[in-house]
Amino acid sequence: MVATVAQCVLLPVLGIVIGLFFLGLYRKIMARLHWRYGPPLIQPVIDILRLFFQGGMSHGAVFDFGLVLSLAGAMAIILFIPFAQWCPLQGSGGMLVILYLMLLMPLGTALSGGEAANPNASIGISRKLILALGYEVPLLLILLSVMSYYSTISIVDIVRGQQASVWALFSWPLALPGIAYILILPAVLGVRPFDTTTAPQEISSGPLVEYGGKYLAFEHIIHALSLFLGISLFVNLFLGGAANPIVFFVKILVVFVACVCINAVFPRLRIEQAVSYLWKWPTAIAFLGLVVVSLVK
Amino acid sequence: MPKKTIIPIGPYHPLQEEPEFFKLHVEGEKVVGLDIEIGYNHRGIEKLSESKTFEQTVFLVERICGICSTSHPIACVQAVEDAGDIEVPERVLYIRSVIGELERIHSHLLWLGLAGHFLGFNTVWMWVWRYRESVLDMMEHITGNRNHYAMMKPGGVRRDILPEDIPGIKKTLDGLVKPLALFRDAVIDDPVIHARTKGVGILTKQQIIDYGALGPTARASGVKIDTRKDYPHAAYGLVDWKVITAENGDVFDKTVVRILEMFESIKIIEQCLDKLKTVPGPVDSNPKAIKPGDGIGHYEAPRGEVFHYIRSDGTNRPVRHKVRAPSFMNVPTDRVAVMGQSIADATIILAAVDPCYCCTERMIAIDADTRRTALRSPDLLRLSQEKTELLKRELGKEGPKLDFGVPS
Repeated sequence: MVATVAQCVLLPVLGIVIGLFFLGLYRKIMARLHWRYGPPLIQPVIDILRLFFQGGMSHGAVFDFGLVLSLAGAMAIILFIPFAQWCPLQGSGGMLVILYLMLLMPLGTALSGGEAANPNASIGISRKLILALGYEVPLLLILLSVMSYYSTISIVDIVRGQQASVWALFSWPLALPGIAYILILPAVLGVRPFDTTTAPQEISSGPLVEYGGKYLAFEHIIHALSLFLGISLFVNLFLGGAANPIVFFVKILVVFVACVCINAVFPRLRIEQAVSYLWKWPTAIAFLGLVVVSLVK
Repeated sequence: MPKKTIIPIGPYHPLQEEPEFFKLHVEGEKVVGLDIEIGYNHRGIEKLSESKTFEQTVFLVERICGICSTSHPIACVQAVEDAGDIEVPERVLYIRSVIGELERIHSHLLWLGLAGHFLGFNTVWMWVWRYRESVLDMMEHITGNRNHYAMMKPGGVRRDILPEDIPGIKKTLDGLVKPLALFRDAVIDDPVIHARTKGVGILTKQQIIDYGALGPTARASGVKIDTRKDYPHAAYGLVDWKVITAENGDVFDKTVVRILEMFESIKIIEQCLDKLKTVPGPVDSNPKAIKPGDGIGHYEAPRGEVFHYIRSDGTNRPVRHKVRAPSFMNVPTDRVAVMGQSIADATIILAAVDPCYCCTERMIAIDADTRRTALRSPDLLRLSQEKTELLKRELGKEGPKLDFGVPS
């Protein structure tokens, strides 16, 4: 019991720390790929501390509530996704709860950003929701294949199943959904070529445009958490999770660096191009994977 | 019917580095209208020029734009030389072309990098600008400055290109060819760049002619105009090169035209440098006075034709100096190019003409009822004097007497 409570408190903190480390690493790797020196690794932490001490403007109760909802959703998911052997709420619903809670982050941002009534924010939110519509179709197919292959909705059992044999990505019937997941991962994480939601040159960073001070700091923390969560889910479902935290950290680090490299070599797609890509190859492969899995089973 | 929203791009916006104001009228993501407001950068250069000597005027026009900081001076000295019937030594012509073409390479690289940035392709942006550094270093080596080269003067140039510098310049240019080829192939082959730029922001040949657009914007739509060929000046009539054109008029073609032009520029510079080894001579004809008369000067700046008109009354100052920069003609084409496109494309379309606002800024006030120009220079002078009087009264200070009388 004490261990569970301790995990419930410490895992979100760990998630924020790793997420912020990823944001710093992101800037550093991008800078090196650009032949720049880049900011220090702890720059995001410095920025967030500074922002907390700056005045920010709220646009009303819904603006605050959306932000809190987003942050709460992100922190809640952490308790359901295993970080190596730690998964405090593993007995409560598994994948289905994760799917529900994953909706809270974009929903909270939409509520909050929409309250600001800035046209740039509205366009950014509508792009985010369209993009989510694009990647959730293949994502649901992928999750369905994984769940039906291991005959469980518990993500901890899925990890155990992989540790007993091979990683899902390299096992025969699940390789197809795995490939589909790799194809949509940049869209789930919102990195290029799918960063239309926050395109600074087009819509002045979209939903973020009206945030300042501590509100912006919270948005940065939510962004850090969402990076951590998106990658953790992939690692647990297809790269076999991990038995100890260091191996798990190395795995998410490798996936993250790969995503940053993809981010560096693509320009941004238009939203309709992004959706037509997501509904074409990844969806087809994921659907094929689901059919194969159900035949094999 | 969907609700119309206005997306403001400007007056200060991450999209563009200069103050300008585009009001995008959008329905959802589709652009249905565009208002262009410029004038945030007006400095009164033409009027200032009338208070400078001919030699000082060249330094002044150099500051019209930081990027074309040799195109305006070349056009200006050519206008002065035309007004005063001044002959310039042959060596000067080659040096002017070398500086002008180096400027074109750095300007096109600057645009290419920014175009990458607008598409969210920051890697291209940083890589291109890194190669641009070598061009700026070369400029510093030749002229002493990375920008604002101060090379041109009526009748000649201020510095010679020394024979011992020529191998170094050629070596740097050779080093540029490989990265340029890399970018050319990257743009021509990359499917995502195709998806973002092909068929986007198309300007037809007729629209180019109607709007009088210039430079690479016009050449990408198949309009073969280039002042360097049409009215040969500097050394452009003496070396071998060709005008690059494309047919489709979309953002992709504008990019390709600019990249290929850089190869032509390298060709021109290498020929000029070879000539500089053999053509002797002073680099300044030292004109003592500019006789009364009118003169015009063209130069094909990286964005299109720069045009300068100068009238001399025999004193050491121009009595009238008129400048027309290419963006003045190119920016209005945005109105037809962005229509019906998405917001994501609007950013790259607005940037595709390589707009340069500080070159362009002019102010004109039209009376809405009579459709006539409301504020002419006497009105502005009067307003200025009234404001000064007001300030003097408010501050209770005497100050200098400012009644110069209003010229009619």
